[in-house]
Formats: sequence, structure tokens, C-alpha cells
Amino acid sequence: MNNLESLKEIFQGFTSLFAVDPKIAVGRLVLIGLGFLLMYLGRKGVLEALIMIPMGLGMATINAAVMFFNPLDTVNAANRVGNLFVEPQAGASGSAVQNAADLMTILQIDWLQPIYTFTFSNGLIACFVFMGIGSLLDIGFVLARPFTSMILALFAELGTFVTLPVATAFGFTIKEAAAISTVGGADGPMVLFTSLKLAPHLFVPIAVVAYLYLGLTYGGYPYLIKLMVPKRLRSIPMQTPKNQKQYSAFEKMVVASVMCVLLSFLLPVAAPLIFSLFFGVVVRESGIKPFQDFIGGPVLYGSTMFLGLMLGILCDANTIMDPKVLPLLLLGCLALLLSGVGGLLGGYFMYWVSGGKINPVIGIAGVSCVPTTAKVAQKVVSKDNPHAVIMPAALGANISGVITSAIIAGIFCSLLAKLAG
Amino acid sequence: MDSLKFSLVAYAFAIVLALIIACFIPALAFVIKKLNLDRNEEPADLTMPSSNSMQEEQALAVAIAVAHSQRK
Repeated sequence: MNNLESLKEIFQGFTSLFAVDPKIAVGRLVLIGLGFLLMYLGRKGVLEALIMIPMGLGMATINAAVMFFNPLDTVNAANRVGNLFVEPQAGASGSAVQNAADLMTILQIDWLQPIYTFTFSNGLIACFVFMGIGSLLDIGFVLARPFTSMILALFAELGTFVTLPVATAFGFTIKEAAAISTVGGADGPMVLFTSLKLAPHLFVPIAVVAYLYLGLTYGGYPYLIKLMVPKRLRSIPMQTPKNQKQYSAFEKMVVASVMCVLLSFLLPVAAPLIFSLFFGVVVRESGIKPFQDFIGGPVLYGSTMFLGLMLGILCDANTIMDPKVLPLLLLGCLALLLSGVGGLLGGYFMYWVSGGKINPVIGIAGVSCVPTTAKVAQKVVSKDNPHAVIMPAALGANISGVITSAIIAGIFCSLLAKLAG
Repeated sequence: MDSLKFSLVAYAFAIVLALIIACFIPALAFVIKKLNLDRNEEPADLTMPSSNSMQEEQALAVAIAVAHSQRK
């Protein structure tokens, strides 16, 4: 072996650039740059740092750490490029890895494969995130204004229902279209769950697209609000009604428990997510402090960290440059944009119904990206009127958004699960 | 066309279910108040062991102490 070949063997990250399709090679370099950009925007607070920093570093690294490697055929490893991180969809239907022995080999070789196989691809991590979110939610905000909150949340699902027929026009099957359109609900765990149930072969790109855009809502929605709602309406302060009922922790716990059982009864397909969310709420209201600290701390932040990391690792050029991903990028963007528009239209509707007492900006919080969209709504309003507090009403719409997203995921999965294609 | 129809049906279904839940929430809160389940009793400290387990723990501690002294 001469010196040049030795160098090629050592620096496989570089040499593998010339062994693949030039488009993929350029894609790798662009994704390395994009990874750094996401980290920078996360650190600056433009995008959600909790997801973007691990995701950005994962994205940059996975596109650098490419080598000539095939875990299932080490003799002919030079014929294939791979990595030591993860084999997406190993063991899932449609994957080359179909038998248990191959999956076990990959689990022993790829260091993030156990996290991917045992928590990510079965939806467990989505349930953990939901438990954590539940433990942070005060359903008192929904109990205070159940109809307003639910109506706003229903308006904010506009993107989901408009994107579904648009996606079928793009050539996707109705099950694939339903999985993609749930991005409009802006509920990450729900998107993971629905795509696993309805379109497991598109699970990786849909998950990546969904979380990429959920990060972007943080930066993009303030502009949408300013575009659709004039400053005069953005500054409306929302008063707490004098006769507003106060609910004790016990009442909240009973309501959450009964709703959990009722929704699981109605929509068994979405029961794991429904249970996880309401379990978090019940733990919060039951007063078991150690459980609450555990679920709201290590479980939530640990899951979010690994979720961000896995999403970044899954952003390798081979996945992102798949011809099916470009329409997914467009459809995901359309779904979230329309849901934001729908939410603000809902805000206008409630402004009209209440005789001008409700700030229409709370409509954006109907998009169930808890608590990001509620925070975005308050942030925008505070800039125009520092004395306007809309956060409690916005959180009510936000929590209802999670409930409506669960309802819609359940409806999609129930109606479409047995359909072929 | 089928997908548009499906989308509209699913939206209608979601609206009905969400509004049923919105009606159900205050109704349930009302029932809880009427049943007076939420009496203002001193809440139990759920993180502390119950009296039974406390007794068991004490019995175990005594047994360990006795065993230790016999070994000496």
C-alpha cells in the first residue's frame, strides 16, 4: 500500500466525499454548515436552543464522520459508505435489515442504535416528552376557558386539514399525506407517533422536517403575527373575568384522570400519548413532588436532549437528499404556515365574539407547540404593550391544542390504519 | 377528491369531539364540587412511608441491631 492510499484509508471522511454522487457530497458539506448555523441560531435564542444545539452538532458531525463501512459485511466494506452512529430504520418494515441477528449486530456496533431502536423508533421518547410536558401544564387554564381554548385550537388545525389533500395531489398516498399533514398540529411527539403508525417508511424524513420547522416557528411566527394583526389589536390587554372559577389541585387531578380514560376510550390508537400527557398532569396535581421533579426534570430534559441529538444524527445527506424529502419540506412549511394563519383567524373570531375583549394574538397559541407558541404570543404583545398579559389565556389555547392534536392523530390512525398503501 | 372529503369528515369529527370535551370539562368540575369530594382536609405527605411500613422499618432496624450485637 503506497503512502497516498494509506492517507485515503486514514482520512475516510474526506475520501468518501469523492466516492459518492457529487450531489450527496455537496449535500454533506451544506449540511455541515447548516448544523453550525442551527447551533448558532439556537445559542442566540432565534430558534429553540434545547433542540437546535444538540441537533445542529449531530447534523454537522454525522455528515463529517462518513467512512467506508458496512456493519453487516465487513469483508466488502469498501463498497459502501456508512457511519458508526446509527442505521436508520434498522429492523423496520422496508429496511434492508430484516432479521433479528442483523439488528443485533447493528445494535452492538452503532453506538446510538440502542437509543434509536428502543426509544425513538417505537415512540417511547415521544411519550417521555409528553409526560414531561404534562407535568409542566396547569390545566386550570383550560378549565377557566374551555370553549375559547378549544375553538382556538380547532382553528389552528387548519394547516393539517388543508395540507392533507394538497399532499395527495403531490402524489403521496392518503396515509402518507395524513402523516405529513400532522406537522400542521406543530406537536412533535404527535408527528412522530402518527408517522410511525401510518407511514413508517417516511418516519425519518417526516420527523426531521417536523422538528426542523417546529424550531423555525419560534423565529417565524412573530413575523406572521405582525403581518396579520395590526398594532392596535396586538396591544389589547386581557382582563381576568371577575366571576372566573378557581379550581383546586384535586379537581384538576380528577378532571385530568377522567379525561385521560375518556379520550383513551374514544381513541385507543392515541392512548399511549394521551396517557403520557395526562399522567404528567395527574402527577403534577397529585402532590407527589419527587415524581413531578423526576418527570419534569431528568425525564423531560433527557428525552429532549436525545431527541435533538437523534434528529441531528438522522440528518445525513443520504436521507435529506432523498427526492421524497423536498416535497415534505414544502408540505411541512405549508402546514405550519396555514395553522398559524388559522390560529390567528380563530383569534379574530374570538375577538369578534367577545366584543373586542380577547386579544386576537392568542390564536397563534392554538398551534400546540407547548409552550413555545404561547411564549411567542406573549413576547410579541409585550413589545407593543408591556402591561398586556395574555399568557394564561394563551396557555389554555396551547394545552387545548395538544388535546385536539391527540384527537386528530387518533382519528387519522383509527380511520386509515387498516387502509392499504 | 377522496382525500378532500376525508379531510373534511375528519375535521368535522375533530370539531364534534373537541366541543364535547369542552362541554364535559365544566360539567365534570360541577359534579366534583356537588359531590364535595374535595374536602379541605390536611393533605397526606405522599413521600413519607405509611405507618405500617414505618413499623416494619423499625422492626427491621431492631432485628439488625440484635443480630449485630449477637455476632459481637
